[in-house]
Amino acid sequence: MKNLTIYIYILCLLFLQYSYCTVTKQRGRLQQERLYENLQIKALPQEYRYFVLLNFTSLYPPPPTEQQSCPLHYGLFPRSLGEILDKHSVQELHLSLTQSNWRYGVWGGGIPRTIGPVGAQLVAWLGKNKEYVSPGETTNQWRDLVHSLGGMMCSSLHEMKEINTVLPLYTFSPWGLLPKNTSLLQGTIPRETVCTNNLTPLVKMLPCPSKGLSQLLLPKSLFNNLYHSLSVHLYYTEEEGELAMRIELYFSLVFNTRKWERKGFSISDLFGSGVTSLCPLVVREESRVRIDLSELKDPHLLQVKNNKFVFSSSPQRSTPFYKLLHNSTAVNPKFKWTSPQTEKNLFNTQQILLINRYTYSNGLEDGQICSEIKNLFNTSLMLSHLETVPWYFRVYTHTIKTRLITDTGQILTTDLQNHTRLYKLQLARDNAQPLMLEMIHALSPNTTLHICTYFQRAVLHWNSYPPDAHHGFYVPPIVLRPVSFSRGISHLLNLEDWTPLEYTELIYSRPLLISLATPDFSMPYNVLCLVCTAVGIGFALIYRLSTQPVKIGLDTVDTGGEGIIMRIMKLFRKVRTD
Amino acid sequence: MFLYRATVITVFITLRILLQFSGISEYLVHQQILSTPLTSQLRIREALSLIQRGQSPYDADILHETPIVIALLTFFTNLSDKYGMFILFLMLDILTGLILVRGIELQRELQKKQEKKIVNTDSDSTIEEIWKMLQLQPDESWESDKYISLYFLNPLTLLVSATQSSVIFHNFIFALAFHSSLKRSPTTPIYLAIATYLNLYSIFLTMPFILIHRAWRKGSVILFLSLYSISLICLLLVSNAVCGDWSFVNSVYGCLLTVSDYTPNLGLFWYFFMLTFLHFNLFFIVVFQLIIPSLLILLTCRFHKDPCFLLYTTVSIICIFKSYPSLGDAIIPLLLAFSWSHVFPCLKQVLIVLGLFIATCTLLPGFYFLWMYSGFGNANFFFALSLVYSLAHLFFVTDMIRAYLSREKFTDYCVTNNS
Repeated sequence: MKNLTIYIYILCLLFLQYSYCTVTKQRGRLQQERLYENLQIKALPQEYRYFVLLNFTSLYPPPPTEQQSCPLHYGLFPRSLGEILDKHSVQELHLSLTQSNWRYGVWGGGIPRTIGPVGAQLVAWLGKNKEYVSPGETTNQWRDLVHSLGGMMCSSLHEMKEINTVLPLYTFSPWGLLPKNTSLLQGTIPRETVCTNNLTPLVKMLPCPSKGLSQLLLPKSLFNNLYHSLSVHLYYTEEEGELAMRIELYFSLVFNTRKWERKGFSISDLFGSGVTSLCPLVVREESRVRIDLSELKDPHLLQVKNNKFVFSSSPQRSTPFYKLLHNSTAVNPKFKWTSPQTEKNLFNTQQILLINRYTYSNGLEDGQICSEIKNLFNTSLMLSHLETVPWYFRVYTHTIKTRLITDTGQILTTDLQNHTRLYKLQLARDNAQPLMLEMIHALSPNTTLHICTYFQRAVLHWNSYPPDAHHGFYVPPIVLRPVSFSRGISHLLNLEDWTPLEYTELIYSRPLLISLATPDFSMPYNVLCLVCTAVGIGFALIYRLSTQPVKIGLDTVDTGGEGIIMRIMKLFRKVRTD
Repeated sequence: MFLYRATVITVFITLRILLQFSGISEYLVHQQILSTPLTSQLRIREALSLIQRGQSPYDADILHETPIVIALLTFFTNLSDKYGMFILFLMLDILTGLILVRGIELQRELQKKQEKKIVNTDSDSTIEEIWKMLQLQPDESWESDKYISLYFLNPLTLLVSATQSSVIFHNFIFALAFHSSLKRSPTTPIYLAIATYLNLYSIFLTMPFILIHRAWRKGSVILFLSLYSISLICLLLVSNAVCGDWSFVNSVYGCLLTVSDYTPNLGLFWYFFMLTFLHFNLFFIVVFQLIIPSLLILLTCRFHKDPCFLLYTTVSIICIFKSYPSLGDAIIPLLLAFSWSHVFPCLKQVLIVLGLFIATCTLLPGFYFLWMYSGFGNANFFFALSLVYSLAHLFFVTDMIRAYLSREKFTDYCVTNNS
């Protein structure tokens, strides 16, 4: 009953807003907020590993902007976010906070759009509609944005300064509608840890923070698993011909269920608490619980049980779903293996792209950064490859060496030109911008591409080192994006008539951790004293020599023998007697 | 004599080729410590590859090399991808040695004349008698052959040559300027302008060169200076034409003046500026960059009568107090010091200086290894050694100055009392 009053109250407010405001509409604005909650469970191709995805999607009328001379009214739209979006003219934004690596080699591709790189990543399209914004202004907007967002999300996003922010051209593509003249910026902090304080602001964004699937968002279970990634995606879409802003919140989690091996487990076992009531605002017809068993060779081996029905998937439809109706117990299916999980060949073989990245060096002076990209698909692949290296690892681009190797270890080619085109190269600037390389590779099926570059390590000003300087410095992960499956490798040669495709899944490598040589941090005053003493000695010596007459005593010259000394003594006496 | 020279140079070339083809040279090129960020061969290669890709090399902070040198090297690498640069650097090394030694020969003749002037007597016998008495007889055995071997058989020259750093260009131009000024050729200011263009610190060499120039042609200082500045402006304009814009000025001279790259080197600056507090940074940059001109003023007051010695002291002081000194910068001051070998008997701190040099040369690679590779040492180890290296140079120069002055005084004293 209470919920209903709130709902009516909100509707009244909305009505008031629209009766007051005279907004110039180019495209109709969405009049009604919509909220969907989805739960997706996927059996990963590794024993006892389950991928659980909680998804909260909401569609709002575009938030008010300050230019509109009407009282700012946000409705259900999170106001804190709305103000940030308006102030920094954000057109689209993707923020992900992730702990630990997604293991592509073991877990496969996961569920599209839900996997983020280790640490924090922010991808944003900035710019006002149809208005030209200079690059300098964009950088300022970005700086303000990361500060406000960081404050809101309780994470150190403000560390995405110019030195670890890039403007890639090709690798990222928008999810929604974008006006003209927007610029894309991407920043990463591989070091960022994710914990409870990042969860609270995300939960606050939800219209129903204590009902429905958000009841599962308990820190204890959310952060006590093998992999967790929290992400926020904001973009404009067209919903039934009307402009709307879509906010998607993803909580991607990988659980280890070994301890429930015998008796099976339910969702409430995983999270430590079940869903007791549903959110009244949710559009229930489109909110689903989805169970994905596509990775299993024989889905009958895993029995999924609800208290209403026993579910066993058929091979024809391996990702069944059921609607989230009025019954909250529907959110608690039970999983049990009908046979013990011992066989290795329970799972389908993967068709994926594997990426491995490593560095090798001897000492703190220089080294090599290498990446291995393995195409396990049966088809040829074209990949866009974004590589960002901070300036203090001085990468020498002329040392890039590549090798294309087949499954059998046969080297196909070592010439970069045969399979790779450099798309954009932004060179590093000291204390200002990182090196950014955007390349496009063509990989034939079952081949591995090795790329190695030589780099030298710079030494930083002592203020630029973080408090734990010996921890090392991170190189952000590589971002790979399969750009076209349909076109052949021959098209690589003419990139000009090649248009960016719509969104495809991004694949992230792990970040690299490399140490830099450090000064002795306790030395500033000592060095100041020592160097100034050396300079002082030099100056004093030369000053004395050049201003005062030289005294020649007898000891000045090594005269060799006694005879000569005597002769000079005589000479000296002679002078005195004169 | 010719045979001796030919043998020495052949030995040098053979050793150099051996280093090149055994891969040792390539290893040395990758050692940051042997060349500074301003002269590193690796950075030049990066620039060449960027140019080939159609990108301006000054977009990156990796390159601090002048555009004309880059253009020249592009030309030579286009001639022969593998050996173009190697042959160019080898030729420059050999020419530098020969020209420098020719210059020193001329300087020795000048020195003899000057000494006679000081003694103010025409008879050689009187001076020789005094010198013999004081055991300050100029060592006649220091012939040009000795300088040739001092340059070509010097492990330092070989090492610098193997690293192929662009300091070789500067040394070559300096040798040309030195030789032409002693040969009384009017092209000196042009060479000096090129040297300044390659390395901004060479601007301080104008003072000794003007004095050398004035010694034989009075009143043409303005001509010298105007020719110098015109050539310098021309060089900058040509570079602008080569690059297309002025972005190179910041890359080439900005780094040198503001000491923005803290890569370890043998100088006093890197560790100091790495560890200063940022709000004092500008103050200390100004102070440290003013050391050379202030010392130059003092030395000019003292040695304006003997500009050749002033030249030697200026070169040495630049080698110590420049922001990015490398091993290559030490070649010329050390060779020039030997052209003043007749003041060696008056040196007082030979043992100290020699000891310091030997200690630094043996310990430097070791301490660098301890810091960078084994992890047993830290930056202080290497810094201490680089400080001692600078001090050794400093003690040597001041000792040379003192020796020169006392020798002068002795001669003066004896002459006045003898007559």
